[in-house]
Amino acid sequence: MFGKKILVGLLSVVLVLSSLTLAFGKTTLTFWHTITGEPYKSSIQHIVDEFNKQNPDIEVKATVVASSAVTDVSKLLTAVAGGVGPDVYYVDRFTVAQRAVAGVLEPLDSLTTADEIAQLKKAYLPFALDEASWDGKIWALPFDTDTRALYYRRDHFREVGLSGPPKTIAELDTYAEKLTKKDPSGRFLRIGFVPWLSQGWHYTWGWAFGGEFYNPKTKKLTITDPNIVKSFEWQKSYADKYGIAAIQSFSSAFGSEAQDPFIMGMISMKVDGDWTLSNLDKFAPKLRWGVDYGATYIPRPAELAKKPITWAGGWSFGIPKGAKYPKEAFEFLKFICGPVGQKIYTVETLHLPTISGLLNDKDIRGERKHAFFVDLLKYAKNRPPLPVGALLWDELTAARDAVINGQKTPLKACQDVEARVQSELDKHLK
Amino acid sequence: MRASTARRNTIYGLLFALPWIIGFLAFTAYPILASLYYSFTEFVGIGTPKWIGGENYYNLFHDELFWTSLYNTVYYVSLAVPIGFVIGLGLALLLNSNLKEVGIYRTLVYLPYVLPAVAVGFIWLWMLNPYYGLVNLFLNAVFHIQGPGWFSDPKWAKPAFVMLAQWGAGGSAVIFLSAIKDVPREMLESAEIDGAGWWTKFSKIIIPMISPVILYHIITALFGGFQIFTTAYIATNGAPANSTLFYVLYLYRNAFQYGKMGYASAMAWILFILVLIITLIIFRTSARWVFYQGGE
Repeated sequence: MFGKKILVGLLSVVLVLSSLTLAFGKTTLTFWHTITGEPYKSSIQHIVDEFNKQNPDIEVKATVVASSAVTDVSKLLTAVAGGVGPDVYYVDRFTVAQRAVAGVLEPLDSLTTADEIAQLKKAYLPFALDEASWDGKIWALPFDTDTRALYYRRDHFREVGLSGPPKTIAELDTYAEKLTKKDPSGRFLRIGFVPWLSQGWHYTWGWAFGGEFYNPKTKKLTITDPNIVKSFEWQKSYADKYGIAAIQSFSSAFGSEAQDPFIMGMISMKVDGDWTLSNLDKFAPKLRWGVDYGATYIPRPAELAKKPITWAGGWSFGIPKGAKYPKEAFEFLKFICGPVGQKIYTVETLHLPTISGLLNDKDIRGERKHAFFVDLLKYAKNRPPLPVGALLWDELTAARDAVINGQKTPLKACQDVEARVQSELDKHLK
Repeated sequence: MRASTARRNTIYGLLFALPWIIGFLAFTAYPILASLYYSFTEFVGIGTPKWIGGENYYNLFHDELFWTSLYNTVYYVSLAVPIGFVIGLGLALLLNSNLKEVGIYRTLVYLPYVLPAVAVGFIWLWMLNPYYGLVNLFLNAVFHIQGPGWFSDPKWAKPAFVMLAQWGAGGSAVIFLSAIKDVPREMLESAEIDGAGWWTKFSKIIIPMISPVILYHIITALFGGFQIFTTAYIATNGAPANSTLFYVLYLYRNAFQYGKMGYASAMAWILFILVLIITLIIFRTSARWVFYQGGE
């Protein structure tokens, strides 16, 4: 009897409370992201808490939706198709155009005034905003970014009598040979440099050699650009010089984290991203910046060597189609991708920001080694923002494999990629 | 009275089966039929599919990667299935011996089969590591040969997956074993009295008697082989140079990474028809070699 009374009492309290919240109209935003690692996950939560504190009428709830690959969107697709998608979604910037074409994202232009869009456009680094655009509209706001450079082991350099890092491709080749060591049976103990390891992607070398992958004016892919073909030829020269089977079997022994080949001293140089700095601090505290290792611009052919180049990727936040509260979601987007959100995230995670105004922020620039990568951003290129971006990436990777394994000539491999991806792109341009 | 009881029983029966029927219709029959429709459309997964007739099929036949993935898969199936059959049957024959501790061996042989494919993929990545892997260390220690690069070498990556598939041979061995146990003892004994050796007993009695199970094994192994995905996704994800881009892996990329659900649906239907034809051929020829006890 008594229990029943308590129950009724409780129920009425719940009723009153729920009507109260209705009266105050607190909006709950669902926000999906795929970040599981630390400190990244806590940092995202930190920004969310900060937003909730500043916006008492909106409650953002962050949920981790694990995904196997950055380009896999099956969960979001199913949820949006079923009408139960989130209000805010974390999306790899180079897939934004693809999501836009798939109809998964809401164009941000429809949520605000032309004035505000113009302001937003001014606030972000051009390459980052370009990646989040398609068909003249903005589909997501840029969040963090990264840059790539050539890391080199200064201790190895001293050992073989080299003073500074290589600046040109020719220097890179000679240095690599000097740094390579074999045991008496001919197995590699150390390889000076292998172009395609870590971040030595097709894009890295295509751009370093002065190539362009896409012409936005003609809307044509330009993979057969002679400079891109040259970059493949140059990669093949490593496969020939050192023996592709020997390199592959040597590099399959590489691990990650503390077993990273650069930390283990199995390679002396590699192209890698700014995030490698944190890995080195964590797993190889004995390697000191400026003494045992350093980073420099990615080497380029002699005639281009004076102009540094790199490329940047990163993430963004968008609003899926069918979001229940797109207006409030846009407010959150502006916060997390704005100066406050980006500053919290980049300081806590040592990622790089995409807001031009933050590039000179002392807290973000941090130590000198980190500042080097921040300054690289002004030379950064971005992958062409195309709805066939993921396909183009996979095709270029397979082409690179085919070239270094001697299955296709560089020109043929480039022609194949161009023909195949262009025909897919044309379907979206109709 | 009787009629109404029977009727009521039918209704009850259907009611009890209803959860399954609904599940089958909603989660199996409908998606299958829907994918047939999607295969004739341009469709990203949400929104309205656009009817394009047979274009997906036409494009597939002109898609180099489609043929690559089909070749890789057929290569894999035509090695993995026969080898799997021989190893499975061989293990079953060994496990059929009258050793005291045979129960332990049976458990041990079956054990790898219960491991999840993801774990198996990772284990084999290490087993087949060219430098530190057990396989190459063994080859070097016993035969003094330098093993290949396995997953990193386009020539050896597919054979590596064939080897990896034998990890699950314990599963088929247990099924073969139970079939061998079912072979009437008196038949084997009278053959022995007539002077039959082990080979004669094996080829003239055991094989024909377990042939229905062999048929079952070959067909399910074919289905499994054509659908190879998880281990490949984990170990190589199609690399190097698309040499392990298996059919379903390419299908998955089209559906969930390239936003080409219609194209992927067409791939699924081609695979279905291909496997259907192979299965029909095997069934047709099976009349000649499968022996059903008490049958015609």
